Amino acid sequence: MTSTVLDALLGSRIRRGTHETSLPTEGLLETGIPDLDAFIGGLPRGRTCEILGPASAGKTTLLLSLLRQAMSPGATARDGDAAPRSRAGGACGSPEEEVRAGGSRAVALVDLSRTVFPGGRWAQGRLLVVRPKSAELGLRALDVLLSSASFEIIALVGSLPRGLPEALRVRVARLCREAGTSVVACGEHPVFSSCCALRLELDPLPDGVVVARVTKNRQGPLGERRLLLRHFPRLRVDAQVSPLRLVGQEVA
Amino acid sequence: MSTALAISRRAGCVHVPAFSLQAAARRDLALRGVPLALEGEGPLRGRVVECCARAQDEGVQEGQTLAQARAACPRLRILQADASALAGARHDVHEALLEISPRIAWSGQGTFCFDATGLHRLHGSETSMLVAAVEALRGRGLVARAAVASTRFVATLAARARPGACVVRAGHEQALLETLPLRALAPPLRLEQVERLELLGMRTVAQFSRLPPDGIADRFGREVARLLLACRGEEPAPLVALPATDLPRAVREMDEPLAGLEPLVFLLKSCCEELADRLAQRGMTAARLEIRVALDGGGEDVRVLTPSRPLAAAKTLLALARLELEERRLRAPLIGLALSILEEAPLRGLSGELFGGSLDVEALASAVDRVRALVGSDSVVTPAPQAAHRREARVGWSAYAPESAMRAAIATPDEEPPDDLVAGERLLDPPMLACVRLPAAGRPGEIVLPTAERAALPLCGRADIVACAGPVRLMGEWWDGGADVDRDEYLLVLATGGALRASRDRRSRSWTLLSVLD
Repeated sequence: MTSTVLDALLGSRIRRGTHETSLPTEGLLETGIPDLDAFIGGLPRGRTCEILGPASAGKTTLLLSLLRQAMSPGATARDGDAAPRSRAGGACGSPEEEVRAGGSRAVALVDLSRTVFPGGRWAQGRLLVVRPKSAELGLRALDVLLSSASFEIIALVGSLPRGLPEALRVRVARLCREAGTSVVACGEHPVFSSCCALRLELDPLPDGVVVARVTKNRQGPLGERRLLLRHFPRLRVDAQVSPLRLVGQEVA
Repeated sequence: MSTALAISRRAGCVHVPAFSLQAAARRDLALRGVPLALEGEGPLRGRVVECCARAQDEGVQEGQTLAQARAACPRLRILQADASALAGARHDVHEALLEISPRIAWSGQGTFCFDATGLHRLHGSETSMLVAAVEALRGRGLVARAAVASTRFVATLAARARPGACVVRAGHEQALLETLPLRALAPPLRLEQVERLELLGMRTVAQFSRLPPDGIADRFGREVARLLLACRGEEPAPLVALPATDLPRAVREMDEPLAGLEPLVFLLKSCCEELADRLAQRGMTAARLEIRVALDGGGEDVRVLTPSRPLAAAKTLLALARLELEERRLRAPLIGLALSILEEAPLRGLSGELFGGSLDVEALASAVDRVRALVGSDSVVTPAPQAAHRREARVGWSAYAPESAMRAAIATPDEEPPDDLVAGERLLDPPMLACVRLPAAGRPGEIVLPTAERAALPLCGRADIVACAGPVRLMGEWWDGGADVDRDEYLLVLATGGALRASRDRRSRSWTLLSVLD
C-alpha cells in the first residue's frame, strides 16, 4: 500500500489526533431549532455571529439551544455553502454531506451579565462558563479561549461597549478563522459590525412567537421567518375569569 | 541434568564524607576550593566535628577547638550545621539513588545502602552502576564514594575506605578486610575500644573478625560482638528501604537578591523542567503545586496552585506559575525559590483520545488556567444544579474540569428528553421590587418599576400585562434549610412581548421580580 493511499485513509484522522493542522474551519453548525436551521442552514463555523434583540426576545433560549446542540456527541456540521436547505427535502440530510464535528471540542459561555444559568443536564460539568466582572475582562478571557483553539463555540452574552476598537474586532475574527471557533455574541446592539458573518435579529410578538430577521449573512440569504422558540409558554387570556381566579393556562 | 540457579545477594553503599558539611556548603559557589569545617552543636559547640580534605591537608582535625583549627589553617571557613540543608541533601541523594536501585536505606553518617542484587544486568556492570551513582550525586553538588559487596557491612566499609567506586567480588570480602585497618570500624567502634583492641595486637578488621564473639561480648559489650559477626558476613538487620513517597521539589538559591519577573521566570523554567523530569520518572503528574519564595529582608511568599487537571509538562507548569506571579507580584526581591509538588496523581491517558477528535486537553487545561488567573477561580465554573423547589436555590456552580469536555466528546448522549429545553431564563441578582396589578375581567394588568431602567429588563418604568400564569405557591420552612419563604409565583406576559417571573409575598403582599425569560 503506498504512502499516498495510507495518507488518504488515515491522514486527516492522524493530523487531527496529533493536533498539528487542519482544525475544521468550514461548514455550518446546527442551532438545534429545526425552523431556523431550515431557514439559514446554521451558524457559520469559524466566524463571528450576532444574535440581537430586546429583552425577552428569545436570544438566550436560542443561544442555549445552539450550545446544547454543539455539545451533543452526535452533532453534525454541514459542509459546503449556506444555501437554505430543508431537512424534509433531504438535501441536507445525507450522510455524505455531513461532517462529524460537534462534540469533538469544548464549548464555552462568557457571561458578562452574570445572569444566565444553564440548568439542564446537558451543561452540567461540561459547559465552561466564564463570569467576568467587567466587559474588559470578558474580552480578554475570550481572547485566551480563542487562542487555545480548543473550542467549537464560544458564546458571549451581555452588553459590550458599542464601539469596540476595529483592531479588536479584526483580531477576534482572525482568531475565529484560525481556530475554527464560532463566536456568537448575544445582546441588544451590534458588536462586531463589519467583521460579523451572520447577524440575526429577534423581535418578540405578544403571543410568544418570535420574528427572526437575518440582516447580514455572508454565506446565505437575507430575510425573515416567524419562529416558535418556546422560550416561555404561550398563555391564553380568559376575560371571564375574575382576578383572583385568573390562571394562565399553557397552550399545548 | 538440572542446573540450580543460584542468586547471590549483592548490596551497594554510597558514602558521602562529611555529609553535614557538604550539605551546608554545596549550594554556595563562593565556598568552592576553600578549606571548610563544621562546628558542632550542643556539647560539641566550639569544636570541629567535620572538615573537608583540603582543611585536613592544612592540619585541621575533628575534635579541635575552633581556635586550634583557625591557628592551623587561617583561611578556614567555619560553617554551622543547617538542618534544612541536611534534609534537602538526604532527599536529593535518595532521589538520585532511586535511578540506580528501587530499594534505598539510610544508614546514618552520610551513608546510604541499596539492594544491588541483579542490577548489573540493568546497568551493564556493577562498576558502571557505581559510577552512575557517584556521577548522579556529583550532579547534585555532593562528592561521594560507592562500593558493592556481598553484604551491606562490607560494602559500607569499602565505600568509607576506598575512594571512587569499589567492587568487592563475591568471595573476596576477606581479602578486603585483611587490608582495612581496625580504625575503619570507627564509628561505630569508639576510639578507646580501638586502642584497647590494638593493645591486644589487632591491626586489621580481618584479625578482629577472627576473635571469639563470646569473649568480645564479655569484655567489650554486645554491640562490639554484633560488629564482629557483621565482619564475618552476618547482616545485623535486614535492609529497610526508605519510602519513596517524598514528593518532588526543586530549590534554587540566589547569591544576590533578584528583582523583576523575567529573571524569576528563568529560574522557574529550570525548576519546572526538573520537576517535570522527576514526575516523568515516577509516572506521576502534579495535582497541586506550591511556589515558595524567600524574600530579601526576611519573610516568605507562598502560593498554592491547583491546576484544572493534573499536569506533567514543564511548559504548562511554567505557564501556570508565571500567570500566578504576573497576577500578584512579589512585594520584595527574592533570594530563594522552591517549587514543590504538594499532591500528585498517576499519569493516565484518556480513553479514545487518539481518535476522539481534535480536542487537545492540555491546551484546554492551559487556557482554563489562564482564564482563571485573569478573572478569578470563582468566575470560571460549570453549572451544577441543586435539587430545590425554589428557583433561585437551584443555581449552583462547580469548578470546571477539562476532562469533562473530553468525556462529553466521547460519551454517549444523556437520555434527556429533547423538549426539556433550554428555557433561557435570566435570574435577576438581586431580585427587584415592583408594583404589580394582575389583569382581570378584560382589563390589562400593570407593572411599575419604582427604580430607574435596568439592563436586561423588557420594560422601562411601566408596562401593561396582557396575560399571566399562576399562582404557584412556594413555602419554605424546616424542610427548606430554614428559608422563610411564603409566596405566590406568577409568569407575566407584557404587551411589549416580554415575559417576567414575579412573586408576591403572602405576608407583606409586596411584589418582587425574580427573572426574565429570554
